[in-house]
Amino acid sequence: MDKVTKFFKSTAGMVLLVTIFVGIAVHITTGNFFTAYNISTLTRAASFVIIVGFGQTIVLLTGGIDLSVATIGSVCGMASAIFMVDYGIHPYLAIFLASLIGIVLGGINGFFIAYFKVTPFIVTLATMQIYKGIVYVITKGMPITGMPEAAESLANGVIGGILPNIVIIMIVICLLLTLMLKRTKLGRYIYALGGNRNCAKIVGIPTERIELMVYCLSGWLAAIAGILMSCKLASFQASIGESWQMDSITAAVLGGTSMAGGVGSVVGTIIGGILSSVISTCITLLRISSYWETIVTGAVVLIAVLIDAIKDNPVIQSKIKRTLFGK
Amino acid sequence: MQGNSEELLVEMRKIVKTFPGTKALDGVTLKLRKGEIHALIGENGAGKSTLMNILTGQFSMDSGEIIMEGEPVRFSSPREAMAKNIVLVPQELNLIPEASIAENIFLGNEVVKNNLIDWNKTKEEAKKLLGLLDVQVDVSMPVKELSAAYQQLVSIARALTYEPKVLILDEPTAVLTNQETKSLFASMQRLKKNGTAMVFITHHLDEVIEQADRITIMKDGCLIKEVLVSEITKEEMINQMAGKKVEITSRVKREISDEVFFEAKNLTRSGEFENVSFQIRKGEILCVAGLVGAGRTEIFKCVFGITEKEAGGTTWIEGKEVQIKSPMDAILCGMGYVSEERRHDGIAPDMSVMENMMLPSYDKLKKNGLIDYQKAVAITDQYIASFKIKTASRETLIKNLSGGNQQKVIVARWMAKGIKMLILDEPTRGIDVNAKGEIHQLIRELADQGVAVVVISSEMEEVIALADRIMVVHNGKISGYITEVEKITQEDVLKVAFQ
Repeated sequence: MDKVTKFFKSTAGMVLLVTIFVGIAVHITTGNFFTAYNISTLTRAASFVIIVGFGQTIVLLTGGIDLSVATIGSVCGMASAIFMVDYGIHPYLAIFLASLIGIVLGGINGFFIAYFKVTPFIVTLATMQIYKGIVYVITKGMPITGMPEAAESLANGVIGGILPNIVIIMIVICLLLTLMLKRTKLGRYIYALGGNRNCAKIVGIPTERIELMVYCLSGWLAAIAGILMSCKLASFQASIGESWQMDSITAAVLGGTSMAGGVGSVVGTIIGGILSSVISTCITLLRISSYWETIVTGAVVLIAVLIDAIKDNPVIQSKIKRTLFGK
Repeated sequence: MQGNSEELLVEMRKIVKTFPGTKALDGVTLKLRKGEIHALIGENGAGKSTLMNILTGQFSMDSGEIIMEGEPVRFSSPREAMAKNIVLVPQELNLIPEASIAENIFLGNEVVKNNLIDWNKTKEEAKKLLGLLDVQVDVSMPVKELSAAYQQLVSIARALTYEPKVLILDEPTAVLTNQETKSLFASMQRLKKNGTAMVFITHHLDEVIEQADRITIMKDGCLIKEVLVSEITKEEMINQMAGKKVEITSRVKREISDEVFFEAKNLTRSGEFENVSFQIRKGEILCVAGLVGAGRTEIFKCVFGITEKEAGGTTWIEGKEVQIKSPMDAILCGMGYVSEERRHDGIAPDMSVMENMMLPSYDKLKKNGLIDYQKAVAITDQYIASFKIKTASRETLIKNLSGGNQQKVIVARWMAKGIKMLILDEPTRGIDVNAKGEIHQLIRELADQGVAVVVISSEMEEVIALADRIMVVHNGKISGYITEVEKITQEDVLKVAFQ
């Protein structure tokens, strides 16, 4: 009981309530929000950003940031397409190989951040551009088509006509990461690194190695999302996942992960990712022009973090009370 | 030494303040008269800081009133309080490390000419203010290059720019050496002559007796009493603060083995210390005394591998040479380290008491690659009980504990790890009398178990209570040892330092 109340008082809990509330409101107006089909599509669409968001969350936990997730996803999506189409490598093997590239690209970020102490924002900003350039140099901006059916059915498959494969993949990753974060030494060290880096050093945590691993992990998860997205579309386009860096940060933050590090969870990131997806679905259902989508999403994010900020700050609370009710 | 004026400057009447779950202040009254030094004493958590935060507009009060010079006032921000010349010098320094001393002093109160900052005048005025505090430095130097003690003085100089009628000093001497403390007290006496009322929050009761005119004693959010200094003894103060009899930590004579645990030979880091050689025996408590800035902290940061020694120096453990290049290496050699800056280096504030205690010990707690929390819980609970750590539970975030209890968690962290040598830098700074005694007892128990203990301390009482041997450091060199600890004074230490 205590844990339940605690959850709903947390950021993730509040965001979940908002999400459900929005869902109910739209269901009442349109009558087709809580349908199996709608929920299935919605979660499938959200899963990609959520998987990227997992990596982002873990990076944020250490007090860093990874702006290169979108372009890592793009490079690896391209690599998987080339492996399958040009070299005829078996789809599953191609997916595996391409995801390894994600670890390497993430490792490049981590290497500069951990061992040369360059600010994560700057390093990943630079590599984001480089990785994007690699895709354009290799593909010359042309799509790669003709990916095998096995790949496509992996990403598009639906179990029992309702439960998308991709959602299962996302949940399995979430369970593994939660186990890692809560129950292993590595996981606790990640929190300690973001909680107080100096303290982490003094208690003998290999901070550099942990930081490197975290960016590798983020790269790997971004790669998986990028590859599965290419598989889903059965073709690679350079524009895949263009907005993932910001979407993944949004999902993580709405899920209660602190940008300062040390606080957060991957379960929260699922909730944060679902909210964004719910908003865009609602806009479609309500037949609002899709040009409004980003405005509404931005506004909801702002309101959510604002409520969160006020909730934890008695000074602002009393100021608001004073302005509203005088005295 | 009594307040030379009975004229009330500020009166805080029946102040009540509640925080979720606790009543922080319960009808506290505080009277400040012109030109007096008013000591505000009480254990950590007694409500001293809350009361001062209300006076300076940091917090709002639930009920009560503040009268200043006959007029009721109410501040909703520190800015408003400053406009009425009420200024607080916080314990946690609010300085911008990259900005110059002069800029820091006038931050928020800039010297302006034609809407532009007049830097020449700023520097000139800054120099003048620091002169009042007996400090001569280049005011265009960035603050980060100053020692903690000088940073404290810069903060006080900043407060003086507001021409305070009421100046609140929260633990101003915690990081100061004797010398610096003396010159701070001299400046306080000067301000007093000009009619400034000062609230002096401190845990050093000797300073209270020496400097203050009146004392307000608080406990658990309540006013215990207001009294003239001349009418109370140190023992009475302690008993009133604690509400029960407390034993002042006293010296215990201990037997120590002859076995050397750790030895350093010719350690050097240019600019910090040079050619430092020393030994520590098993079960010995070696206290390191000297002035702040003498290089004490730097030497032991290097011993623990936080900084790297220069070529030529060697470190030995039980007669074998060891390479210590990082804290990880030092921990593998059986060492632990408690930093002087608890918040900066010691705790991960948003993690639980248990996690803060177990962080270096996860290796021992593994079962099938996962952390065995049952074991962690058992160990944590055992230390919470035996160290008398006051916490709601092991899951409480460590930031919610008082300083003394946080420090106990950090000492327990290294005990749980099973170390053979512990370095403690200013282990009881800013910690109340009661917890201080308990921490001293823990340190002795550690040593009794054969752990070699290094205590870096600027507090003579602490050194006398703990030391088996005193190592005096001056100007980056070991200037001597004192083995007859019983009756030494700060003067004796200085004699060794300057010999």
